[in-house]
Amino acid sequence: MIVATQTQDQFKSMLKKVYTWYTGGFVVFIIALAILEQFGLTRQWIGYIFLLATVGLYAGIGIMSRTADIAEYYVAGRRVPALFNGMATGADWMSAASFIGMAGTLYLTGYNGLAFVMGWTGGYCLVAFLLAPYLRKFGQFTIPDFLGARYGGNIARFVGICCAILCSFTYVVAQIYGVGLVTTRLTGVAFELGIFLGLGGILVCSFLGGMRAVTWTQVAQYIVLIVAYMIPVIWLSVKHTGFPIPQLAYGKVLEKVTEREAQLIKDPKELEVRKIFADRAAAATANLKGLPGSFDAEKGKVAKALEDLKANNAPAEQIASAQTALDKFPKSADEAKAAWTREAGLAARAAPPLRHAEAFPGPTEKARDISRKNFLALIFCLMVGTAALPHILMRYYTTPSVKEARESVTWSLFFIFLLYFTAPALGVLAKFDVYTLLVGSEFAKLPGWAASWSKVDPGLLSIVDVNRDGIVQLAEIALGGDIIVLATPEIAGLPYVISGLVAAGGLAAALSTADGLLLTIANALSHDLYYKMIDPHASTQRRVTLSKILLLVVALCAAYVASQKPADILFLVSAAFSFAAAAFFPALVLGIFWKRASKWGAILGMIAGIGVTVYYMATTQPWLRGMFGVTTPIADAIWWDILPISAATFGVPLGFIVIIVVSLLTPAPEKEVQELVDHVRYPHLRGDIDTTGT
Amino acid sequence: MLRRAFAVTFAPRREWEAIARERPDALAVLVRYVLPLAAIPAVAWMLGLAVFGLELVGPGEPIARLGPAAILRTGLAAYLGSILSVALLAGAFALIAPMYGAGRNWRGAWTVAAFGTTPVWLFGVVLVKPVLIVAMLAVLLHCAYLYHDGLCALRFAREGEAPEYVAIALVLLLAASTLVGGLLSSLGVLSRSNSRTGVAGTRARKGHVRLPLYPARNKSRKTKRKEARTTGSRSTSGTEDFMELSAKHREYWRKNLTVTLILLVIWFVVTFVVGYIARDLQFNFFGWTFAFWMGAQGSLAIYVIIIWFYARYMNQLDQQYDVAEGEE
Repeated sequence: MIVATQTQDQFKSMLKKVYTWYTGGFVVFIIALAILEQFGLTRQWIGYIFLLATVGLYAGIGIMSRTADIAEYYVAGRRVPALFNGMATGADWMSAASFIGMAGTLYLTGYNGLAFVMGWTGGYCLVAFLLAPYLRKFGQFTIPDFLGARYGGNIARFVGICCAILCSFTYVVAQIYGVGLVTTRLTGVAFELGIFLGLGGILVCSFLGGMRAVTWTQVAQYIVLIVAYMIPVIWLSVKHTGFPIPQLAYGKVLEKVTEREAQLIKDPKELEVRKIFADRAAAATANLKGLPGSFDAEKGKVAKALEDLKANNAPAEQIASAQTALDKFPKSADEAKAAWTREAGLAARAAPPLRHAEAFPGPTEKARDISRKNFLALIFCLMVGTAALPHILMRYYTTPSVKEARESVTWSLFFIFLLYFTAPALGVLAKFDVYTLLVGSEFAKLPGWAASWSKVDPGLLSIVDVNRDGIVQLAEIALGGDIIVLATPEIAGLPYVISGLVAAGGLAAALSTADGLLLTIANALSHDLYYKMIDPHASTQRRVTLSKILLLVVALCAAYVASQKPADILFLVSAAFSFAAAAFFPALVLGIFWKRASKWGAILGMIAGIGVTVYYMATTQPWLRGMFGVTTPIADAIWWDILPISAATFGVPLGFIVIIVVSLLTPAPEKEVQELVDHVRYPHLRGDIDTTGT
Repeated sequence: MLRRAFAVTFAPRREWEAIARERPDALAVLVRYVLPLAAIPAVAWMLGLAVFGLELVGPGEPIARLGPAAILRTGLAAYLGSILSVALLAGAFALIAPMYGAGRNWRGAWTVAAFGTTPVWLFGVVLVKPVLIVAMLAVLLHCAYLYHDGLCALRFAREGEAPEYVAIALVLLLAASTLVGGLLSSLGVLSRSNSRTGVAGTRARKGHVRLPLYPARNKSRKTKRKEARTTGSRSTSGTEDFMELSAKHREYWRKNLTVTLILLVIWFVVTFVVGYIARDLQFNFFGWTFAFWMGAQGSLAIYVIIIWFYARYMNQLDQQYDVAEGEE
C-alpha cells in the first residue's frame, strides 16, 4: 500500500484517492446489500456478510501493510499526515463503550451523562496544549521511552511500563468483551467463539504490520463507524423533525420531551405503577429483615391462599395461578434471599422519571451538591485520563513533524466531535419515541421493534403490564442503555441492512481500540522492558519478532480474561482512565514544563498517584472491596462523597505535590536532561540533539 | 527581647537591617526569642478559655466549656504548634531560595520566619477574649509584610520578587500542614476527643498553627537531612544556557506559555465554571436549556476551536521565531 520512494505530498494525495474510493465502495456495498434484502436475503446471511466483509477488509489492509522494519512497525514510519492520523486517533479513541453505550447513558441519566461527552472530548485540549507537540519532538516509540529519557533511567521507565500495562490491559479486556458481544449479535454464534473470531480480526492487522497496519486499518474503521452512526440518527431526525441535521433540530424535540416528562411525572396511572413497585420493594425489604423466619411464614401464606381458593370452589384459573405462585416460590431460604434482594431493587423503578435537561437533579440541596461535585470530578478524571492514555499519546509519534502533530490533534478532536455531539441528539430522539409512541400504546399493539427486542434480550428491554390495564406506562418499561444505538435503525423504520451496519460499526469501534491497546502493551514489553532494560544489543529483527510474539500472548490472555465475563466490566473501563490520569499526567506535564522535576520526584510521584487511586477504589468500590477483602463500611472510606469512578481526583493532585516537593528536596537534573527539555520545547534548534532513535 | 519585638513590629526596616548585621545564632533565637514570646498567645488563650469558654460557635448555640485538662492540652498544642509552624515556614523559605538565585541559608530563613512572626505573638494578648481570634487575620497580613522586608534585608530575594516569594512559601506551608494534619488525623492521632475538633478549627483560623505537636520532631529531622543532601547539589541547578538558546528563543517559549495559559483558562471556564453554575443556566436556548446545550454542543465546539487556534498560532510562531522544522 505504501511505496517508500514517494514524497510526502504524493503520498498524501494517494491516500486521499485510496480512501475516497474506499468510502464510495463501502456505500455501494451497503446499497447492494439493501437491494439484495428486498429480494429476500435473510437476516442471518446479512449478518455473516457484514462480519466477513469488514473483518476481511481489515485483514486485507493488515496484510498489505505488513512490515518488519522497526520504525514502520512501531510508529508507522512517522509519515502519517495530520488528517489521517486524526481519523486513526478517532477510531483508536472511540471504543465500544462510546459507540454503543454513550447514547444509552445519555438516555438514562440526562444531563449528568454529559460528563462523558465533555470529559472524553475536553481531554484533547490537554493533549494539544501540554503533550502532543512535545512528545512528537522527542520522537522515539513509547511513553515509557520519554519517562526513561527525561527521568534518568530504568526505574522511571519500569514504573511507566507497569502503569501502562495496568491501564491498557483493563481497557483491552473490556474491548474484547465488546467484540464478543457484537459478533454474537451479528451471527448468533456463542459468546466465547465470538471473542476468538473477533480476536482473529484484531490480530491479522496488528500482528503483521504493527503500527503501520493498525493506522491504515483504523482510518478504514473510522469511516465505517461514523457512517454507521450517522445514517440511523439522520433518518430518525427526518422522521421526527423533518430536518436532516439532527444536531441542530433536536432542541425542539427536547422541548417536547420536557413537556411530556412533566405530564408523566403527575399522571395518575404512572403514579399507580410506581406505587406498586414501591410496595413490592417495601414488602421484600421487610421479608429480608425477617429472614430466616419470614421464609416459612411467606411460604405458609402462599400455600394457605391456594387451600382457601380450593376450599371455596373458586374458578379454575384462579386456582391454577395460585398453584403456579406456590410452584415458583423459592425452594430455600437462600434462594428466597436472592429473590427478595432482586425485588427490593425495584425501589429504583418507583422513582419518578428524570427530567432530561435538568442539571444535577436531586430531592435536597445536599443531594444536588453531591451530584454536582461528582459530575465535575468525573469530568476532571476523564479529561486528565484522556490526556494520559498511552495508546492515544503514542499516535502522535507517527506524524511527520511537530507542526503536523498539532494539526493532527485538531483533526482527532474534530472527528471525535462528530460522533460525540450526535450522541446526545440520539438520546433525546429515542426518548421522544419512547415517551410519545411506546408509552400509552396498547400491549396488544406494541411497535414492532419493542416487541422483537423484548423477545431477543429481556436485559435490554422488558415491558410488563404491572397494573394490568393493557396500556404501556413509562414505569413499566425497563430498558438497558445499549439498546438505544442497537435498536435505532428499527425505531426509525430502516431495513435490516442498517442494523447490520450499526453492528459492524460497533465492531469497528471495538476492534480499532483493541488494536491500539494491544500494540501499546506489546511495545511496552518488547521495546521498553526487553530492548531497553534487558538486552540493549538485540537486533532490530529480533525486537520486531519478539514484539509480535508478545502481541499474540497478550491478546490471548486478554481474550481469556474477557471470556470469563469479569463482573464489573464497565467499571474497569472507567478505572483505566483514573489509573492513567494519576500515573502519567503529572510526570509527563512537569517533565516538559518544569526543568527542575527530578528523577526521584517523578518516580515517587507516579507511585503515590497511582497508589492512592488504587487504594481509594479498593476501599470504596463494591466489587474490588470483595476482591481485596475490605470490610470497613463504605461510608467511612468515602472522601468528600466522591464516587470510586473518580478516584483520580485525589491521585492527580497528590502526584503533582509529591513530584514538586521531592524534586525540590533532591538535586536538580543533570545538564543533559535539561538540554533534553529544551530540545522538546522548540520544534527546531540549531545544534540540536537527536532523540528520535530510528 | 521585648524591645526587639516592638521594634520589628513597628519599625521593621531599620530593625531588619540591624538583625541582618548581627546574624544571630539559630539556637539563641529559639531560646531567647521564640520560646518566651510564643507563650504569650498560648497563655492568653488558656485564660480566655477558662474565663469565657470557647465562643466560636454559631449564633444561638451554647458556648462550649472545656475542662481544665482540655484547656491545658489545647494551650500546649497551640504553643508547640505555633513554634513548629515557624520552623516549617523557615523550611519553605529555604526550600525555594534557589528559585530566586539565593543560597539555601537555613539560619537566615529561620531568623526571618521567627522575627517576622512577632506580631502574632505580641497581639496574642487579645486572645484572653477568644472571639478576637478573628482579628488575627489582620495581624497575619502584617506578618506577611514583615517576611517580605526580612527576606529583602537578608538577601533572599530582590525587592520586586519578594511578594511572590512570600506567597509561594505561605502556600507551601499551608499545603504541608494540611498534608501532615490529614495524615495524622487519618492515623487517629488528632481525633482523640470532641474538644479537639473545636481547637483544630481555631487553629486553622489562625492560619499558622495548623499542626499539632507530634510531627515536630520527625519533620525537623527530615529537614536536616534535606539540608545535607541539597547543599552539595546546588552547583547543577544554576544557569539554563544550553545549545543555542538566545533571548529570542526565550521569548518564543514565553509566548507559548502565555497562549497555553490563556487557552487553558478558557477550557477551564467552559468546563468547570459553567458546569458548576449549571443549575443557574436553565433558561431556554432554542429549545435546549442553556446548560444542557453547553454540555452537549457548545463546550465541544469551543474545544475544537481553541485547539485549532493553538495549532495555527504556534505554527506561525515557529516561522516567526525561526524554530520551524524544515520540509522532511
